[in-house]
Amino acid sequence: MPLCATPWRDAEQRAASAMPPANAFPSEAQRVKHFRPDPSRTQIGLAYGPPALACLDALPDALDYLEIPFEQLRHTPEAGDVQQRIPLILHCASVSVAGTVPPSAQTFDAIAATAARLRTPWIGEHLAYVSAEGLDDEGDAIAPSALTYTVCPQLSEASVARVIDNYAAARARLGATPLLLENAPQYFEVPGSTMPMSAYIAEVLAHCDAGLLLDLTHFLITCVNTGVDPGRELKRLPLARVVEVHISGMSTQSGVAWDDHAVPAPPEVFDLLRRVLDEVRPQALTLEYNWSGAFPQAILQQQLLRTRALLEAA
Amino acid sequence: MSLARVQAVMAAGIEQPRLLLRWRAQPERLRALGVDPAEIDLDVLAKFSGLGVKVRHNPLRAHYPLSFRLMSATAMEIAMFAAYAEFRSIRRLPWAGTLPDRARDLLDFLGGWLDPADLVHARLWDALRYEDAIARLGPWHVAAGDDENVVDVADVPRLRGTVRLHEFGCDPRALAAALHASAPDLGAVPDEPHALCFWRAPGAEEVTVLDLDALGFHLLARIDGRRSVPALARSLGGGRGATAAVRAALATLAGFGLVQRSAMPGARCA
Repeated sequence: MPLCATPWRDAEQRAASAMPPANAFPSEAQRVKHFRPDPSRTQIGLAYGPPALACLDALPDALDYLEIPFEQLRHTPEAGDVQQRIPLILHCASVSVAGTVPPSAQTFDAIAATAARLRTPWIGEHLAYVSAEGLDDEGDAIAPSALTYTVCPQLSEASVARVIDNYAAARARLGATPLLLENAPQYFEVPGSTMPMSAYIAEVLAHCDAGLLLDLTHFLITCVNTGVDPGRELKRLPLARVVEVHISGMSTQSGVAWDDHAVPAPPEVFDLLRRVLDEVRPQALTLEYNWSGAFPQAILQQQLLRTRALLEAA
Repeated sequence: MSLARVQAVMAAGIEQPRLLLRWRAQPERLRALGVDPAEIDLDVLAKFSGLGVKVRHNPLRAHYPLSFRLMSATAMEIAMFAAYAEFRSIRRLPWAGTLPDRARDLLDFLGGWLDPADLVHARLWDALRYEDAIARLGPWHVAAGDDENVVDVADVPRLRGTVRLHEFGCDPRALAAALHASAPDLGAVPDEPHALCFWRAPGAEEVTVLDLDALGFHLLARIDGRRSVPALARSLGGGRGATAAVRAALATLAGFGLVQRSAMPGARCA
């Protein structure tokens, strides 16, 4: 027997009410906004996703830009229509700059075309890899890997040399748009590694002209998982090369610290940000809370306020 | 160890966790691939494959916010998705292309993987099924066609619209309230079985959730558009007195609009 009845408006309707109507931004944009670096201040943005779009609707003046993945634009080009409302910075996980298998010419061309169309100030790419060659496991032919999630490379001199070559090749293929390299989170010791992450990053940047996209959460995760002191390691990074900073959440599960864009950043990340701001003024700072459409707007706005306060105090 | 070979082994293991099982059992195969088994942590690689699968399921979060909140609050996501990655890899199952299918596959796996005797697992199973019913009758709802096998006989009740019935170990709404706390206390959610009816009425755009008692739950589960009221009463194990109770219950359900007392097309039990 029914004891009570509860109407339930479906989640899609609620999500739709927070999103701009599809026809609000025609695909053939006539006027779009572009990111313009401002040496006098760090601009604040969000990683593209439902929480960012809801925030853009609620507080359009709180954001300077959105950071959007190339892979998203490749799959759903209409996502780029939001550039009529706010500048976009291109992020990427397809170059596999620390890998031994390069992306296809079509992928390079698509990245270059997207960067040109957005007029992104730079392309942020992971200092990691997503593709690897196949294997012959005692007669079992294992196909080449094409991962959907970037993996921390071997931290070795051979890997540094490979990154330098790959970076040069990518720069040649991607046109004039600068590349930033983003530190990967390290979850495990990679066989054959000969140096810590901080030394690896410093070594790579010493041999190329890439800027550093410093993901503070990745950095903290690496320190936690490898048992080193974050404050000491931070001093070993070439902080003067930091162009952009990423902040997101972290969760510790099954004995390992993991990247988690569905939870707020821990206080340690903001402490690291304060230390970074003592040394350098990045051009952009992106909060990455793009894994969950249910990420609370109140918490997102708290994080924006906290970030802005730190920037203003620096 | 060759850079290319090391990274290929790691990527293959992350992408196909069944290989990690093989290499754990036969470490000499790793050596043959050029990687020292003592230098590679296969357990952490398996967990990392869980992270990748977790991220792959992020689009489900909008439809299962309580379930993902529970998984996160109890720090079980990585272990759970690592087990799921291994399960699918062993069977070489491709990932479903649509959200409803991907959710169905995940729930099918969890139905066998979760331990009902474990409080956290039991509560997760409640949250998943609650949100699954809402999603499938809400944004993922596909209106059913007319039932061509309608028995047009008086005294044969029929369901109106689409109905899903679930029994839970707790009240999912109390569980939701607990999960909205900054530090959820699952132990504070009363361990009280609840039977709920999820109902999308014909032409409605919303899902209605009805609390049911035992008679209402078992009665609704038996309404198939074929059984008469006396047959329903018999199927519930009752005699002549039960028929009167069933008629009274049906009258209440009809008052909600959930049941139609005469044969009408357009209703089915999902």
